Parts: sequence; C-alpha cells; structure tokens
Amino acid sequence: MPEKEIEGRIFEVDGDGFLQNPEIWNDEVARLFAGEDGTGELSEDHWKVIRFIREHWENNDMAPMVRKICQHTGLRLRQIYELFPMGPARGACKIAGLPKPDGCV
Amino acid sequence: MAESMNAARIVFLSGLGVFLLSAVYQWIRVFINANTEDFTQPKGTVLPAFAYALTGAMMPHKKETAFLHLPTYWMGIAYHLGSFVALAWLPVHFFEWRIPDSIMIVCAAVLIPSVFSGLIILIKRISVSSLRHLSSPDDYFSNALVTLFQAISSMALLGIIPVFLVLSIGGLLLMYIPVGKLRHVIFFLIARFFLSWFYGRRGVWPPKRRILWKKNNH
Amino acid sequence: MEKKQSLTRDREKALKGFAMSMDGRLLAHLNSCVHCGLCAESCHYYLSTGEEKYMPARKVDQLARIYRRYHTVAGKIFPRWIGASDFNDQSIQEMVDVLFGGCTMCGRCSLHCSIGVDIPFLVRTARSMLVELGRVSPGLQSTVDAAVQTGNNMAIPREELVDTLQWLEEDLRMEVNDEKASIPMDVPHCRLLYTLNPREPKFFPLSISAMAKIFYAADESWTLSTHCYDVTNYAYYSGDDHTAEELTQRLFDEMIKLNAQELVLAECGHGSRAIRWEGPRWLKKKFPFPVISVIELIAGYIHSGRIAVDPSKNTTPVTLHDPCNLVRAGGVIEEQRYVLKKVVSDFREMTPNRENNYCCGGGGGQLSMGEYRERRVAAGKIKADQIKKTGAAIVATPCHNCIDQLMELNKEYSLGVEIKTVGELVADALIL
Repeated sequence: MPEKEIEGRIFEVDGDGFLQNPEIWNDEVARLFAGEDGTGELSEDHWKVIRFIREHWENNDMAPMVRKICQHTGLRLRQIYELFPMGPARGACKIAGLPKPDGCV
Repeated sequence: MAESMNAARIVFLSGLGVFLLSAVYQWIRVFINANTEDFTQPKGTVLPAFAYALTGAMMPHKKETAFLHLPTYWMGIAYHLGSFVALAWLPVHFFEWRIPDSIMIVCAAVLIPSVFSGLIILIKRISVSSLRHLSSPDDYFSNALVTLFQAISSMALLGIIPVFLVLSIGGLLLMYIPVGKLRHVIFFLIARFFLSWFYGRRGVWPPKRRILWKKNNH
Repeated sequence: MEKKQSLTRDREKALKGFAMSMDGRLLAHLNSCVHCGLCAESCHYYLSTGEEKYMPARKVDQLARIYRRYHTVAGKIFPRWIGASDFNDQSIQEMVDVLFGGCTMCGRCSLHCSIGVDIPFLVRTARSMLVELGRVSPGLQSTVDAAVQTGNNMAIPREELVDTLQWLEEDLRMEVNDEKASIPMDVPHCRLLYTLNPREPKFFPLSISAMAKIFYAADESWTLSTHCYDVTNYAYYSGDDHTAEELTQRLFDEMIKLNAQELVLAECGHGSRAIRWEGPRWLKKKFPFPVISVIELIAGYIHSGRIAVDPSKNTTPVTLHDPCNLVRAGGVIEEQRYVLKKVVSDFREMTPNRENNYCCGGGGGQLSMGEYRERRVAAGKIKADQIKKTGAAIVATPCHNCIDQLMELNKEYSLGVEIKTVGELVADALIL
C-alpha cells in the first residue's frame, strides 16, 4: 500500500494519491492534501466545493456531478476549474478524501 | 570425394525437405485459419498498404528502428543479402553446375561484409545487456549458424573449402530453420501482410497526408 | 521432453481460450519476432525509464514464450533452448506487471518493427488470458463493471445526466441568444446519434456545450441518448471480448431503436477505435449505418461551408496531441489538423506527429490502474518534452483519456499549458 507523507503525517493512499481510509478525513487532511498537490491555500470557495462533495459522497456514496457542485456552491463552471487545476476528480474529490472515481479520470 | 558429396547431398535434401514441409504446414495452418472476413467500413485498402509495407515503410528515413540504428540497419541488410546469396548457391553446388568465375567472385565479395555483419550482430547480442535480456540460447545459435554457413559458402566460392561442407551445413541450417527464431523466414511476409491489413483498412498505410472527402460527410 | 508443470483449472481455461483465438493473424505475429531489440527506443516506457522489461520485443515474448511451450514441438521438448516457458506463477506475474502495468498498447513499436509484428494485438491477446484468471487490475475492472451494470463507466444515474444536459441547454440558449437552441435527448429519426464520454457530463461538460454549439451552428439534426450514450469501452483495454461485445451491442441497438442515420463518436480515442474498428468483429456483422469520429464530421462541416469559423478568435499558440487509437490505429490523421488550421491562427505541430506520435502515457487503461501511476507519469515525460518544445500554450487533443493524462503531465512537468478538446476550439471560433 503506498503511503504519502505530508508535514510529518503519514496517509495510506492508492496509487493515484486518493485517501485509502476516507473516514479519517477532516479539515486538516484536506488542507494538507491541497498543499501537497499544488492547489495551495484553501479559500472559502474551495471549502464550499470540498464540503459539498464530501457531504454528497457521504449521503450517496458517489461524487456529485459538476452541475450539482455549481448549483450548490453558486460558483460557475470555469471558476471550479480555476480553483482546482487538476479538475473536480483528481483535484477536488481527492482533497475531499473520496476514493478515486472510475472512468477516464 | 564423391562419397562425401553424396552424403552432403542427402543432408541437404533432408534439410530442404524438413524446411519445406514445415513451411508448407505453417502456411496452410495460417491460410485455413486466416479469418479474413472483415466487417468494418474501410477507410483505405489493403493491397497498396502491403506494397507500402514492403517498400516505403522499410526505408531507413521512414522507419525509426532503422534511422536510430543506421549501422545495425545496414549490417542487417548485408546479413540478409548474404543469406539469400549463400542459399541461392546451394542448388548450384548440389547439381555441380558450372558458373563463371566472375559471378563466383562477386558472390564471395557480397558474402564477406555479410559474414562480418553477422559476427558484429552476434557480438552485440552477447555484449549488450538489453539484447542479452531478450535472448535465449537459440538466438545466439541461430545467429552463429547462419554466419558460419555464410563464411563457409564464401570460402567455398573462393575454392578454399570443399563444396560438400557448404552443402552439409546448408542442409543442417535448413533443417534448423523451423525450430527457433529463424522461422521468421516462413512468417515474415505473412506478418507484414496482416499488419498491412490492419493499417491499410484503417487508412494509415500508405500515408496520404490529405483528406479523402466523402459526399455524405458534412 | 521437459515435463510441463501442472495447471490449475482457470489456467487451463485461459490456455484453451488462447488456443481458440489462434487464427492466422495471431500465428503470424507470434512466430515472427527475431529479438533484434531495435523497437526499444520506439517505446515511451523504455525511453523514459531505460528498463529492459519494457522493451516491446520483451512484451511480445511474454506471450510468445507461452505459445512456444504449448504449441511448438521444440518448446515441448527443449523449452529452455528456445526461450519457452510454462504458464506458471512467475510468467503470469510478469505478464500482469508488464502487459497491464507497462504498456499502453499504443502500437508505436509495431509501426516501426523490423518485421511487422502487431505488438499491441499480442498484448491484448495476453490480457484476454489474464481476464480468465481474474488478474485484471482492480481499477480497470471496476470501470468495466460500472459500464456493464449502470450503462456508463462512471455510474451516472440517468436523471442526473438529464439534469446536466438541461442545465447545459439553458447555458447554450443564453450563449447563442436563441430560445430554440437545444440539446436534444432521445429524439428518434435524427440524422446523427452523438455519443459522450461519461466524464463529460460528470466533470467536464464544456466539451458537450461546445459540440452543442457546433451542431446548432450547422443546423444539424442530431440527438443524444440518455439511455445508452457511453462511447468508451474499457473492455477493449482489459481484453474482455465478451463484455466488449455486450457494450458495443447496446450502442448498436440504441442506434436501431432511435433510427438515426449515422453514429458519431465523441472525442475519445479508444472508444472510436473499439466501436468502429473492433466492434464489427465482436458483433460478427457489418453495421448498417456509418460510424464516424466527430473530428471527421467537424472537418466536413468546415470543408463544405456548413459552419463558418474565424481563426483570429483563437490567437494563442496551439499544438496537437495525436491520440494513438484514433490516429495510428484509427486512420483519422489529417482531419484534426485541417480543423485546427481553420480555427486557430497559430498552429504548431509537435515532432514526431501523426501516426508516428508518442503516446501520452494514459492509454491502454493506464488511467484507471492507479497502482502503476508512477510509471505512467514517468512514461509521459516524452510527451511533456514534446509539448514544451512547441512553445504552445494550448494542447488540443481529440481524446478525453489523453486530456486527463495531459492534465497530470501539465502539473508534474510544470508545462503551464491548457488542455482542450478540438471541439472547444472550434466552438470558440464559430461565426454565428
């Protein structure tokens, strides 16, 4: 099992760097992951996206459609891509502590 | 001398028999299992692709494996040319036909760079780690056997070595072809044909560098 | 005679499947490699790592040595002499490691092979054997399973797709300022049935908007299906012919149900290849309708004047990445260049290009096989260097799979570029 060390904390992750035990996720983990993957400091808008994705996953066991992210956060599509340069999946979902979605992502 | 020659003839004929039987068997096997029914809507045709596969696609400026390895490419060409020349002499030796000295000398001259190429390719295979990684005993043996055959052929043409030796080694070589990687002699054209089928139907070979506009495509 | 090791039942089954698939084409390719090793430098894995196990000739041998052991006289009698091996733990582990984990089946090696061995064909044949053993990488298998079970490889519920498409339709109406602009869903008897890569509605819908705008500009009669629209076919990657056939059949049936005249494949390399070039073989029949890539369609629109475009609307330098499955294995080679030259003012080729192009590293199902991510990113260095050399600020590529890999390369190698579909650039250049 690959591990990722950020600021002295060790996380079990999959090969793509997605958290293996999503239940250990918290704000601190999100902050560390964001710093590590180049997203940087998390702004209020970042948090709106992350919290919505997290909540959606906890309730529905899947990442939300990007449309829902826009609808619930009031952000425009292009803003989401600017906030998360790696995109909603490898960027936002990873920081929100979700397992990697299937498909071409 | 006549006895050795007759023995050599038997070795040669056995080798030829084994080779031909094996080749025909493999060709028939490929042919009955050819499975060439193709339901796709073609973007190109197979035959021009096959023609290209045997010409343009083999040229050193088109083929990366060639232009990145030019010395090896030319040695490979020399080596194969030598093999064909040496094989072509086998029936001549067999029937003891009289051939003008000038032709014999030209052929011997073709064989000399070929033998050296074979040797260098063999040394490369022994000394380069990535090639060793790819090789089984057969790879070294096949290379050595062909090179030896060419060397003996050239020496026989120059009159240094008796002809029955060439005929015998040639027979053994033919016998060995179906065993190891030399069987590519049997399959080369077929593999290239199937690859041309693939690239030809799909419009990749021969390269067109332009669009064939279809009327319904707008 | 060296005695063969005993086989478990599933291994016997895998070998039987291998024997069954042994047609003339497979025989020819299995018997032709001479281990010249010149292919090594044609492979992006070998080039970027220098590891011998990635040499294409070595990959050929992963399967050919099994063939020799069970199907040749010499391999049965003296296997070591000709490099034949048993189908055992070790040879299977090596197959999994290299043929799943170290090959994108991009086919660049075959194009340049001294002999003409169809190497990706052999790799896929070996993968089919590993399917029988249940040794497909879990990430790849779950993507295949999602497609089979839910109708799309990201398990998008139908209502969510419909919501997204309606949302995009509203945007489109605003953008073109026409209440009649639409994204038609499940409309029968249209000229075109257009397909999607599920990652478009899920995460990256700009490419759908772009295509809708282009169709609007062309005044096209088109529809999407909300029941069966997935252009991908990950079973092509995994080597699972049975499932690949099933997925293709569904799309085929949807075409017949909606009675559309042409099937248009979205910007997806492997999907285009699977449906157009492998699908008829899986279904064992001709398709009674043309199957084309959307890139060919757009090129036709521009050529015939059906849409008008202005290259001065895209002035940023653009380069093009050729997806292996669309280009080298699909014959869509000039169309994307023709389109880009019409819609951008500064188009730059990368070298090499067209059928000689290097794989981005994301093909062959690699993006779904997380365990090999490090290799995938390392192998992408060749592509990253190619992009850097062009000095372009946008990389266009008609393949969503490539886009995702390029996005990752963009970050890993600090390329500072934007990655777009061809359709997005066309949409930006449209004169309405």
